[in-house]
Amino acid sequence: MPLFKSSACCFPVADIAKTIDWYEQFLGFKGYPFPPDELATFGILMRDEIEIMLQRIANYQKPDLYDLRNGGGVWDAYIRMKDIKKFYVSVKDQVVIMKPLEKAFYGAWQFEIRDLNGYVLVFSEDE
Amino acid sequence: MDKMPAYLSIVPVFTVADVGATMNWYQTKLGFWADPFPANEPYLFAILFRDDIEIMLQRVENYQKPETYHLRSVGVWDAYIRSSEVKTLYESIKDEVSIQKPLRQQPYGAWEFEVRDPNGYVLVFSEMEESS
Repeated sequence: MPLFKSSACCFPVADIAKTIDWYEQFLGFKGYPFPPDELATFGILMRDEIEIMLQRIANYQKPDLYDLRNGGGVWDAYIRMKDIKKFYVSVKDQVVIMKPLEKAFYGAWQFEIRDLNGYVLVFSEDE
Repeated sequence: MDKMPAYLSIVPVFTVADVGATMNWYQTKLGFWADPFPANEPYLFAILFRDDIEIMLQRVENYQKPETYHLRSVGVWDAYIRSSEVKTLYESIKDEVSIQKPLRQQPYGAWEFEVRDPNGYVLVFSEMEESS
């Protein structure tokens, strides 16, 4: 049987290089633009066990959906991690926090940030 | 050395108008399990699981995903799923789902095909060729 081993989130963005810079600077990813030495049309961000892919669309502006859901925001990626409290303290003054670190009713500690393009990332750790 | 925070997995989150219908499609066509919330429809949220991956669904009433595929010459993707036995997978589902691009080998070595889900999200299934 085919086995689904991993999934990467894919984000359309207007500027691959700028997006890579942001993820490298604030979230500790390593970015790989393609093609590497001219205007990149694609990029992969990697850290630890996860990948995010970037696809360039000229002048793309992500629609803002965050408030369209009653009682909770609209997310784009949900990142499971370890040592979330330490991580939160290290990033909370560097990035836009949509929701601070708190324990959700289902037991996970999580917080939400907005990236430079408006994508909402949730970081989460099961207690 | 001090313990460092680490990212363990990333889950694509799709905004959809109908969580129940979307769950049903992923269960029937792609073999996922689903865990919806709350217990009865209309569901507000669901986690889809298969093997080592998850996809999350969040309900926004009457939501229609904007069509972006044509805005990039080689397509716009929403999730890139690394699989084993991608040829077997392709044969087993190609007549059951909407194929955006058929199975082919990319210049970077991966065998890939693209599926469009009922909401218009584009899933890429991919397997790197063995370099033996």
